Amino acid sequence: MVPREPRSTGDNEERPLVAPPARGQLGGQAAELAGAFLMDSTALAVGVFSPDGALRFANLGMRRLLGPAGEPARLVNPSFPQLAAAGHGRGAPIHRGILHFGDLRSIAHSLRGEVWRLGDELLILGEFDVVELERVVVEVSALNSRISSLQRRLVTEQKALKRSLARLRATQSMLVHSEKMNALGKLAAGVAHEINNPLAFVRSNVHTLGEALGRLCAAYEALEEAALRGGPGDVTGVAEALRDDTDLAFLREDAGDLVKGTLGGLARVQKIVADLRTFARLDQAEVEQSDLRENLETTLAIAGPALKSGGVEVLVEWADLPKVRCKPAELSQVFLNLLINAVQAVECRGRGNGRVVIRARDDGPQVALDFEDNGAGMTDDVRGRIFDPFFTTKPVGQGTGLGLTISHKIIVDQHGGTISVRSTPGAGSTFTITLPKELER
Amino acid sequence: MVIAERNRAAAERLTSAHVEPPSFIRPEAPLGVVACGYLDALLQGDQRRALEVIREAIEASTPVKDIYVHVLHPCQYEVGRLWQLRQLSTAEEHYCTAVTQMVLSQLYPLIGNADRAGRRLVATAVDGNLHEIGARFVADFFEMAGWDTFYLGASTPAQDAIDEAVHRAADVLAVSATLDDHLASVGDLVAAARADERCRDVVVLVGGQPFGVDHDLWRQLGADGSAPTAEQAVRVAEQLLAAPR
Ligand code: B12
Ligand SMILES: Nc1ncnc2c1ncn2[C@@H]1O[C@H](COP(=O)(O)OP(=O)(O)OP(=O)(O)O)[C@@H](O)[C@H]1O
Ligand SMILES: [Mg+2]
Repeated sequence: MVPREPRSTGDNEERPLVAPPARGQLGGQAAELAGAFLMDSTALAVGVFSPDGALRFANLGMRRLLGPAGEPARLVNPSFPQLAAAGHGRGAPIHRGILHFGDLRSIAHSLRGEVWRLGDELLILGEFDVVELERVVVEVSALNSRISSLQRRLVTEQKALKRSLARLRATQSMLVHSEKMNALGKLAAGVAHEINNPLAFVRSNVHTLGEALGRLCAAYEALEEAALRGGPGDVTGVAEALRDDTDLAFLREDAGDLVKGTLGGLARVQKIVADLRTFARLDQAEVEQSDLRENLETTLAIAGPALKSGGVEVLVEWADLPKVRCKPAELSQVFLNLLINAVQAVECRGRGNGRVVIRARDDGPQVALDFEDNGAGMTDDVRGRIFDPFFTTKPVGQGTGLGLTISHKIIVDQHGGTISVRSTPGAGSTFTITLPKELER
Repeated sequence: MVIAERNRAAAERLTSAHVEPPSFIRPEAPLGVVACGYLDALLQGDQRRALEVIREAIEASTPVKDIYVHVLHPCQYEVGRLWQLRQLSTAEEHYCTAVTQMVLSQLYPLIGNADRAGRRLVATAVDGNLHEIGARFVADFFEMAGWDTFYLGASTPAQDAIDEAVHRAADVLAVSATLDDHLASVGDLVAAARADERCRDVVVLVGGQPFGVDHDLWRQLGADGSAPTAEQAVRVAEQLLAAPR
């Protein structure tokens, strides 16, 4: 199709579409071809009707608008009765303007056009407003562009969100781990002390054992010399003198105690290291059939020194519990968070007055654990925010405000349990955890 | 080179009344079968099947890039050819283009998962150009290369395009023309961008069918570069940005 200059509508408004042809403009074969073209055109509609609307002649365009032959012609406005009543016009159209074709089911068509009364016939001429159509194409194209770029922006933003979600997830798991280390860090002083104690006496024991060994070696050398140089009588004498000198009876007894004490001290250190390792374990995702009591006891062993140095009394009221399918390494982190919070809360009571009670109950399909303290308690306002990330009332450097956030995540998201709190300011707080016995997944 | 020849040949065919230009779709071409299936669905007015053909190709692990190059691009050109031969009505051509645009928007979420390049592109059809798919190709190929892209669509006034390039801190402004009539607009836009202090560092790329006919046109219009296809435009842009200016 060859691009055509659109016809402008502006100056066309007043001129009838069909003016009497200027003489000599089109004739002969050109007029014939143009006429044939007009008959086949759908952009232009030409029709001749009787005043009651009966069709006498129509080109393709008009037939398309009128609908199937045999059905009432679909000229809606102006209607044939209106046109029949309009009189004769005298050299001018009886109607000029928009012609509406259509019915309730078909697409309506609006054409620019005019109607002439020629004798007892109505000549209806219409054309689609090409300028308007082209403007619509431009408008639709602009709209289309806007939709496309909006859609692209949406997708881009969605992707950016996905990327930052992935980054957040990575950061979160890093935080979870660093919070764990943070909790451990709080215990570091106590743990160091706990390791130092046995280490100090192991060291002194080894020192003492070393000295004793030196004395035994000297006695042996004296005996050997006596045996080589003198007779059997000499040896007996020397041996007796040495037995008194080196206090062999004491040495034997003492060395036994020292070795036992040393082995005990080393076992304690080994246990602490094992507890720390369990706690810090990175392969935390594993689900196991686990004994909660064992788990809590490991945690208490790690927190033990801190509790002792704060003079906090810990009572454990333990009911018979079945093993629970859970992620033990994660749960011990929760227990430790709650314990540390409790110890920090009871500080205000002064040394020797803090008390933490841990209660475990079998609660049908679930087990429940209470961590009760007689600490400072919290106001409703604080209580409403304790699970928010980074919410802390502790001085800078002491709290990151992630302990309970992460505990909540572990209990609720990973175990399908609940964690809740009751608290009275000035009296204390109780955190309650429930865990379903069967971890669903 | 090949493209230039084809275009010259196409231009000759356009001016000679009797020679029918050959089809852009060949079954033996890469993804030729997919292209045939897609075009056939378009010509039948069967949008569902057209989308299905593309979906199947994607599921068979066809790279999105290849669907652009070997299916959508030749099919659009073929639609234009059939329309020119009056074998398709304007309404039918609109329909085909609308379906292709729908395909583009369904493919878009699948592209651009490359590592972000930290570069930004604004792409648009020049003022007066209602053909928007070329500019969209350009935007999408840059997106595939990890650029952040902003696509403005059809017929964007020069000042709007420039403002957007400034607003988005674009490294490259890509401008698409389709008819020779659009070239004056391209010249105006380049001149306006050059006169704007805020665009001092923006690389202006121009392209579209007229630039395939005359290879020196982009230089005459004062642009920084051009490329025969959207895919090659990415490389040209990267070379221009890497070169000291
Ligand atoms: C769809 C279409 C339309 C639609 C466009 C709808 C839309 N939303 O986009 C509509 C109906 C609006 C339209 C209108 C017209 N059209 Co038209 N249209 C087409 C058609 C069939 C497809 C265009 C397309 O989608 N191409 C696909 C894309 C991917 O190809 P591309 O744009 O060439 O892009 C590639 C390269 O050029 C390059 N590239 C493009 N831009 C850029 C930019 C940069 C920076 C770079 C580096 C590279 C680059 O990258 C792409 C490949 O990767 C073409 C046929 C054809 N051969 O293109 C005719 C065609 C372009 N149209 C044509 C004509 C004549 C017209 C009209 C004048 C008709 C009229 N009288 O109404 C109007 C003009 C409107 C206007 N003001 O622009 C002719 C042009 C002939 C000529 N050479 O002069 C064509 C070629 C049809 C034909 N065979 O006759 N058209
Ligand atoms: N047992 C408790 N008694 C009183 N207040 C508590 C108790 N447990 C938590 N809180 C309040 O909840 C806040 C949040 O606790 P959370 O454990 O999440 O963070 P934190 O202890 O401040 O810092 P950290 O991240 O180091 O644990 C605390 O700052 C405190 O105000
Ligand atoms: Mg805490």
